[in-house]
Amino acid sequence: MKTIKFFSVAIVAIALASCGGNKQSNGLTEGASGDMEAYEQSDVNAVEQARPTIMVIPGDQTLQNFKCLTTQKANGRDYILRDYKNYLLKDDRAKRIISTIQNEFNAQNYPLSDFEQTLKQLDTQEALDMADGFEKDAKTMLLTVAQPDIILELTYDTSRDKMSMTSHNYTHKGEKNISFTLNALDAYTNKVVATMTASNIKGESTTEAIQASIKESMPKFQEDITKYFSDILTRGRDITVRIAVEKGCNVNLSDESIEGDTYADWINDYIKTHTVKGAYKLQRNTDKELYFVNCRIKLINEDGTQYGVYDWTRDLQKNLRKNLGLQCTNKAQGLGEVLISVKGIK
Amino acid sequence: MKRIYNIIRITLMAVAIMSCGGQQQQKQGTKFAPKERESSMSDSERQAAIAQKRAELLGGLNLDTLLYSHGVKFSIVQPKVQGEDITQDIADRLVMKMLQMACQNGISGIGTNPSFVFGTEIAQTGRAATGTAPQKMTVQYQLTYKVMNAVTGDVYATATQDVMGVGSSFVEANQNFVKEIKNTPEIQKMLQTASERIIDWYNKNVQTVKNQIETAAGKGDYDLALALASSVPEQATAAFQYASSKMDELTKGLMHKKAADMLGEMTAAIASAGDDFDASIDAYFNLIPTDAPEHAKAQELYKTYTQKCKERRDALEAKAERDEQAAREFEKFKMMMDHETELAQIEADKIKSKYASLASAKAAEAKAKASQKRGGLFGSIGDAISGTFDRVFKVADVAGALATDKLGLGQYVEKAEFGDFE
Repeated sequence: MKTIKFFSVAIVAIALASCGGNKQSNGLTEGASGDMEAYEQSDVNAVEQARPTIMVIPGDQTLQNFKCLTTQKANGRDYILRDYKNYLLKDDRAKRIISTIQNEFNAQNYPLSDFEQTLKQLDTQEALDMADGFEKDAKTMLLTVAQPDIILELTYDTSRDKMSMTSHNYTHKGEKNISFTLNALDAYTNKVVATMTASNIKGESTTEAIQASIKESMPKFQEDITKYFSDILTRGRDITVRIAVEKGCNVNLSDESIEGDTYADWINDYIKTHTVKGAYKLQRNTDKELYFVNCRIKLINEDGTQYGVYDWTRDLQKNLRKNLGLQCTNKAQGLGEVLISVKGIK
Repeated sequence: MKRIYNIIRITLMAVAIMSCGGQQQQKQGTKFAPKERESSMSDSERQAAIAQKRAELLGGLNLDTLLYSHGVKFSIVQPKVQGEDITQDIADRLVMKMLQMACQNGISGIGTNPSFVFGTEIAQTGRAATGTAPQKMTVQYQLTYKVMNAVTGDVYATATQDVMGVGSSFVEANQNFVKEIKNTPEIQKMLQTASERIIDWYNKNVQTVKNQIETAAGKGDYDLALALASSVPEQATAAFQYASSKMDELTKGLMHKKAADMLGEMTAAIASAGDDFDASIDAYFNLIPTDAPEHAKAQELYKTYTQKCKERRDALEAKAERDEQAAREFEKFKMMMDHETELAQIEADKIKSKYASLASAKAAEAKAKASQKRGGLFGSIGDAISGTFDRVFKVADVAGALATDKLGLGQYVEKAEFGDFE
C-alpha cells in the first residue's frame, strides 16, 4: 500500500514538474522551430518562390448596400466612385467576416494580406514619400494601390423574411435571408479561380450565418485554389502580354521590319516559341498595339532562380533591340502583366 | 506451383519498388543553386564605361545646352479659368510653370512686353476612374503653348503637350495635373524658335517699333512707350539702339506724368507714418523729378517729415541712453543688495543659534548655582531675566563690532568662531 502511495506521489510530482517545463517554453518565439538548411536543400517550389498575394476586397454590390458606391456624371459619361475607407467604417460585420476567411487561410499556412491595413499603409507611405521628397509621376500614383495577385471578392446581402413580417412580427426578430458570394479572381487574367456561394441562409445573425457557411465551404474553395497553383506548376504562369506604341514613335507595328516581315509578325513568332507549349491567344492587333492573353510562361530558371514576367519582358525587349533595332521600355507589373512600350528606332 | 507464385510475387514487388524509385528520381525537382551574374569587364574597363556613361548623360539631353541669351521678353497670358476643373489656383500655378519654362530658355523678362505673349490653351481630353482600391481618378489635358505677336496676331511657334493628373478625386486629379507639366525639349525648341522669329521681326520692323514708341509717348502713354522700348532685344541691333536712346527721355516723361501721383502717395504715407520712419516715403520723394512742379511741395513735406523723424530719433536715443544707464545702476545696486541681504540672513541665523545655545548652557549653569543659594520660583524668574540680558548684551556686541570694524556678518562670524571677540 505504501509503495502505491509512494508511486502516486512521484507521478504527481513528475506531472507538475513537466507542466512547469512546458510553461517555460510557452513564449511565441521559444516554441518556434525551423530547419533552414533542410529547407534550402529541398526542391524549389515556383509558386512559393513568388507567392501570390491574396486579399479579401468587398464587391461593388456590398459597397452599394452601404451607400459607398456612387455614380458621377461628367462630360456625358458616368463614372462609378467607390469609397472603400468609408465602407470599412460603416460595415461592422466586414471585419468579422473577413477575419473568418483570413483565419481559414492561416490554418492552411497561407496568411492573407489585410485590405484595411494595406489602405492605411498606402496612406502612410504617401505621407512618408512626401517627407522624403520622392518624385511621383502619374503612373506611380496610379499603381500605388492595393495590388493582390488573387482577389477574394466578397459580396453579401440580407433581406428580412417576408412571411415573418406579414405574420405581425413587429419585433423584427424574425429570421433573415442571407446570401453571399466569395470569388477568387486572378487579377491579371480576370479568371475565376474558385467560388463559394450560398443563398437564402436562414439565421438571426448575418455574421454568424456567413461565418458558419464560409467554414463549411472553405475546404472545397481552398482545394480549387490549390488546383490553380498546381495548374501553374504544370503549364506555367498564365499571363497577358501587351506591346504598345508610344506617342511620337516613328514606327507602327504593322510596318515592315529589317527582317522583311512586319514587327507584329516578328513578335507573334517570338511568342510562339517562348511560351510553354506555344500557349497564347492573340486578342487585339492594331498598328499601335498587340495584345495577347492566356500566354503561359515558365516559372524558374535552370539554377532555381525565379523567372517572372519582368524577366520574360526583358528577354523580348533585348531581342527587339538586338534583332530589329527597336527601342523599348519594360513596364511589366506584378506576377502576370507584361507591357512593352515601343519608343521606335533611334 | 506455390514456389512459382512466390517468385512471381517477389518479382512484381521488386518491379513495383524499382518503378517507384524511378518515379521518385524523375519527380525530383529543381534545386536552388543561383549563379552570380558574370561580367566580362575588368575593373578599369568598368570605371571607363561608367565615366563614359556619365559624360553621355551630362552631354546628352540637357536643357542648359538649349539656353541662349536672346534677351527676348514675353508677357505670359494666364489660361482661362474653366469651372471646377481649371480653377484660379490652377491657372496661377500654370503661369508659374510657364515662367519656369521661359526662364530656362534665357527669356530675360516676363510681363513687360506688350507686343509678344506666351500663352497656353487647355482642353480636357479625357477623364477616368480606376477599378483599383483605393480608387484613383484621372484627368487628361492637352496643352497648346503659343508665342504670338499680340499686335499683329502672328503666331511664331506652338507646341502641344499631353498631361495626365491622378488623384483620389477629380478635384485632386486636376490639382495634380499641373505637377505633371514638364519642361520638355519640344517646349524649349518652340521658345527658341519663337525668340529667333521675334528678333527677326524687330530687325525687319525697326520703323514700326519707332512708330509704336513715338505714338505712345506722343499720347502721354509713357508706361506703354517704356514697355515697348525696354522689350527690344539686344540682338535686334538697330531697333535696340533706337530704344536705348529713347529710354532716358521716356523715363523722364513717365516721372513727370507720375509726379502728381507720387506726391499724393507720399502725402498719404507721411500722414500714416506720423514721426515713424517709413522707407516708402523716401522712395516716393526720389521718384518725383526735381524739375517737376510737384517737387517743391514734396521737398517741403519731406524736410518736415525727416526733421520730425530726426527729433524723435534723437529724443529716443537720449532717453534710451539715460534709461540704459539708470537701469544698469539700479540692476547693479539691486543685485548687491539682494546678495548682501541673503548672506546677512544666513549669518544672522547662524549667530542666533550659536548664541542661543551658549546662553542656554550658561543659564543652565547659573540655575544650578542659584538653586544651590536661593531656590524657589523667584530664583527661576531671576535666572531667566539674567539670561535674557546676557543675550541682549551679546547682540549689542555684534552690532558694535559690525559698526566699528565695518565687517560683514560672515567675517564677524568667522572671528567669533575663532574666539577673537571672547
